[in-house]
Amino acid sequence: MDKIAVALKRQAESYFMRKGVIIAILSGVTYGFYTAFLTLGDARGVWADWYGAKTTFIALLILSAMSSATNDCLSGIWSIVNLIIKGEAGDFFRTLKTRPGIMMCLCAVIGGPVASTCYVVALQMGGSVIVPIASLNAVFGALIGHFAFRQHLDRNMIIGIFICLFSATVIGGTSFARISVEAGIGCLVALICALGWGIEGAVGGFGTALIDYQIGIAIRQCTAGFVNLVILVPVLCAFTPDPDLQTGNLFVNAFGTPVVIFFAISGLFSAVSYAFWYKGNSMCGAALGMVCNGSYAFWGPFCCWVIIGLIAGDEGYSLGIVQWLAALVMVYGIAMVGGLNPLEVFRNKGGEAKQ
Amino acid sequence: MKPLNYAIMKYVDSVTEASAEDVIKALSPEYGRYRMLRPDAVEEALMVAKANALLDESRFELGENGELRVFYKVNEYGHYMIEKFIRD
Repeated sequence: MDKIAVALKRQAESYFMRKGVIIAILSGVTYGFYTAFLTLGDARGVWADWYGAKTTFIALLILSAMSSATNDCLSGIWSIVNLIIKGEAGDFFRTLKTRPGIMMCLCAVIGGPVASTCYVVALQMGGSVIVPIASLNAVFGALIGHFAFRQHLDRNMIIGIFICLFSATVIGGTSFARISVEAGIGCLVALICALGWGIEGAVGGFGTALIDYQIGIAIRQCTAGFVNLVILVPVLCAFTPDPDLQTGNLFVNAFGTPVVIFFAISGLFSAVSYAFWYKGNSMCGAALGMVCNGSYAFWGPFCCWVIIGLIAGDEGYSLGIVQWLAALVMVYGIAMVGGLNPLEVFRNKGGEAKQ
Repeated sequence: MKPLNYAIMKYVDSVTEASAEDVIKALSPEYGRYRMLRPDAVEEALMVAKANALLDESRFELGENGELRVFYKVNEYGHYMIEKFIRD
């Protein structure tokens, strides 16, 4: 009987680990779909007109904040609908008033409006060179997880994280040609963004050890959407006299024209993606959870290619052989962080029982 | 009434050790209608808490129907965090 108990126990543990890794990778896949539908929405309807006509720095900031606001608000609505269906909407309000709930709100503000705005500013100033710097969020997440929440971290894991970082850089086709003082400042801003996402991943992941992850994510998306729409967008709009770029006009057009459907879809994917990111981090620890999620560096371009390139027929979204190879290198890096044999993670139950 | 996950952590903190089955038995009167108060969901909540160093495993055994029963207890760090973050 003891032997059976030990075998069952081992099976339960490996199932938990495998489930955690798969959920964390799915967070990267759904993040890819979220990016694809958001990019598609930004290139259609009223958004195409805005992005075509408004090219100043402040206009791009406003449009990107408004695009996030639209996505996050709709994503928050999806998350609440999910809780209502499950009969747990009451827990949403009960959790909101507690310490972990407030912690989740802070995470949402740091990782949402703050980090995302930094990302857009950095990208504008530095170009694609800032993308791998923003990817350092996995390193910050792992360090915070280790020092604040007693999570395991060793040399192999750190090497694995940097391998993932390297592949993400290659997939993003990073160009180092544009090195200037402005690009340097862009890199510093990207570092703030990486720190923001690192804090969010580690603290949000730990938070879901106390809060049910679906409630946690409803809090995250509603807070991010609210702060983006009610604070960030109006504040940014105050810096331009352009009548098109005023909160009321943006709101009516973003939510009241058919293009909103793309944001409803991207919002749904982002709700699932963030829920799985927090859940994956809470199951695997921030280090492994965040590099698995970091596979969005591949899934983003991949989903853009499928959705925008193949299905919607826009040009310029195909993937090259180098990107596919870099994706394989990334799998190796993820496996190093998890101390895993990548093939074992996906092996079926029958195979495992024979071990 | 506390959110279900808080109630689970508080309950485990209040006893010497508890399995998912114990948690469900203890919380059923108040949270019986919750879909997350299922054996697999509660077991997962406990395993997540363990992965985040809040709980330790105390022992495991086979139940009457041959199912695995794992018992968890709150450690010092877990007790500190639960007290700090989850107020009554």
